[in-house]
Amino acid sequence: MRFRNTKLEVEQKKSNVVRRLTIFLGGIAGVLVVVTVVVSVGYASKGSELMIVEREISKLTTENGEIEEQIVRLTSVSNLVEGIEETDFIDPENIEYLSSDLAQGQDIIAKLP
Amino acid sequence: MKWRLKIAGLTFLGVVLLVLGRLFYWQIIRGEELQTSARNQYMSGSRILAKRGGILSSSGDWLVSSADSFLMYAQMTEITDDARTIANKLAPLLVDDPSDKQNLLQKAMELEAALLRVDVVWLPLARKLNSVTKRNIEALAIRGIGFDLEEARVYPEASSSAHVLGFVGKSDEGRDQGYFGLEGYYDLLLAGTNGYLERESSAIGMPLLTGEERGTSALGGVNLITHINKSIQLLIERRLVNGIEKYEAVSGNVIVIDPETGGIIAMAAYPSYDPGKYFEYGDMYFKNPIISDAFEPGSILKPVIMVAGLDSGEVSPETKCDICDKPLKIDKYEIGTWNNEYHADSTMAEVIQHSDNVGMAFVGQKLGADRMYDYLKNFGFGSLTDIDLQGEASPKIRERGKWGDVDVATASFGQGIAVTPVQMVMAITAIARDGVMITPQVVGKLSQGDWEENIELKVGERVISEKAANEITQMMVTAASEGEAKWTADVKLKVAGKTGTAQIPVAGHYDDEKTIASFVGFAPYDQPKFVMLVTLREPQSSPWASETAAPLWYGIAKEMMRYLD
Repeated sequence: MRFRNTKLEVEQKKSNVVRRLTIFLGGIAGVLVVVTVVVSVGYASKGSELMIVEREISKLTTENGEIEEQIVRLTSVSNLVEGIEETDFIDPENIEYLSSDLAQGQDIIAKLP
Repeated sequence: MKWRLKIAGLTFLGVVLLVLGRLFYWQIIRGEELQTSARNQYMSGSRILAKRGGILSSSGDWLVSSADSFLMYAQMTEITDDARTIANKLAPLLVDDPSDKQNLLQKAMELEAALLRVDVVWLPLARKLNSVTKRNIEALAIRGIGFDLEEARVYPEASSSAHVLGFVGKSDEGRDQGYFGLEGYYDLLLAGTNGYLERESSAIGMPLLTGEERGTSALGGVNLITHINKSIQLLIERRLVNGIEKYEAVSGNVIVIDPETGGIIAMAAYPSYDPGKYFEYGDMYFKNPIISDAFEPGSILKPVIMVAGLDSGEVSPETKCDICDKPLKIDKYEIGTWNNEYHADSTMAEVIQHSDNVGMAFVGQKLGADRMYDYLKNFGFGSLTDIDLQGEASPKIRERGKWGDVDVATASFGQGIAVTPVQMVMAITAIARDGVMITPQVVGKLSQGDWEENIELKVGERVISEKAANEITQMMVTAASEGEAKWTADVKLKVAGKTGTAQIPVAGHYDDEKTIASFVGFAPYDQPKFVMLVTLREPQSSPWASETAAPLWYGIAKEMMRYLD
């Protein structure tokens, strides 16, 4: 009788161990599933963020290019000259140079104090 | 019972074999194809365009820059509107002036004809559209019309410096490629290297961070910082066009060089073209005549021959020409002066001053054929100058040992020998540099971001002594101030120069009326800041350089000194 009871106890203990092990492994699997889902969602949202950032970079690069193009066009000396001529500023017809001696500031030229 | 088990077993075996066979078919036989197909589904790739380098003036102003542009295409399978409706919507946005009805109608008809094609699924409709036009077209929301990013060149000064810059066209493979001038010569450096990005993406194009990713970033092209002075460049172009109109010439060119560095300060030829619209011009406009067109230089070659005589010791400035009292007869030919005036016992200085052909033939005879050939070769005639522009060509000079007496005599005053304007100006530059050659260079520096690298000067050999260079300089000073162009000379500019009126050879003889008028010189002669050559082809107002090329040269020089001081 004593033997029988011992056998039942052992089986019950075994059953408890198996149950606990199942719960434990199930728990781990569950955690892993949750982690996997969370990480996947996280990565997906990061991918989405990356796409948004890349679109922003592309937009800014395009705008930067447009501004640079405007600057290049605005540096046009030809356009500047046209504008100057429209405001009645003109280049001198003839330029007279002083001789180099005079240009170097010999006494013939009055100097400011 | 046993036979039932056998049938069941065989059925299972059959099913297993069927599955295995099918797996073999998909995995092995069509495996590679399906793998590629799957990869195409989840791998997205894109090309990263490398920005083409810009070309800048010596002061860092842009001569050419790059900007985004767009290719508009029609995805024919997605088009839902009819061709005429689309064409009528697009045409006003694609013409320069929508109020020009004829042009507008033509554009609309072109687009409609293109959109009616049934043999294509993808059709390019317009290239080089700017972002504003693209946005306007996108606002029309036409189904099936899309855009691809391209690159366009921006020329802030329009057609200015066209022959120096060249243009960007398409190669056989359809990629951007530089042609002529700097765009052609430095194409590899300017182009840079495109990058690419390939990675796994979701169905909506979202990048999968856990997936595979590979690629390289684009390496932008190098910027070229030239020796070109933008103000002087615009000045010579304006003056050249005015000069061609004033003297009724067919064409003309001007080149200005810094004798210290060999840097090209300005270079212009007319007729010219707009590099931004190169496709509207014929091939004949693209060639830079300054580096590729040969001409007989006439009297502007005289200083080169005279300095050869001085350097060799055969003549000195005081040597008297004992054959200058009358025309010179060589074989059946008679060599006379340009004005039929003869100056007996002219000194060599007077020979240059009077631009005396007989006096130059005297120098040629003293030098002899072989020595003349050697000096001409040393001065760079008959060889490329190695200027950093695509398209340079060099006319050949007669081989050594094959010069007859007449060849020597005529070459002495610049006939019967062909040179390019750049060869001519580099020979005079050597005189301005006290006898040392230098290679002409348009680009002075390369830059990219914070990196900058100077291009080293290529100083050549000494070809004449300093003494001879100084002697010929003095002769050129007298020629400029006392020669036939003295009426236009400005002594305050301190010019050493020489006029040249060359006849044009046509079908074995010289044309009686057509001439090429030139003036070459440098200033100030004691510390030269520039060397300039002005050439006018077939001026009608006067055939003489002293009345056409010389005043144009002085006009440019006077205005140019403002920018060089």
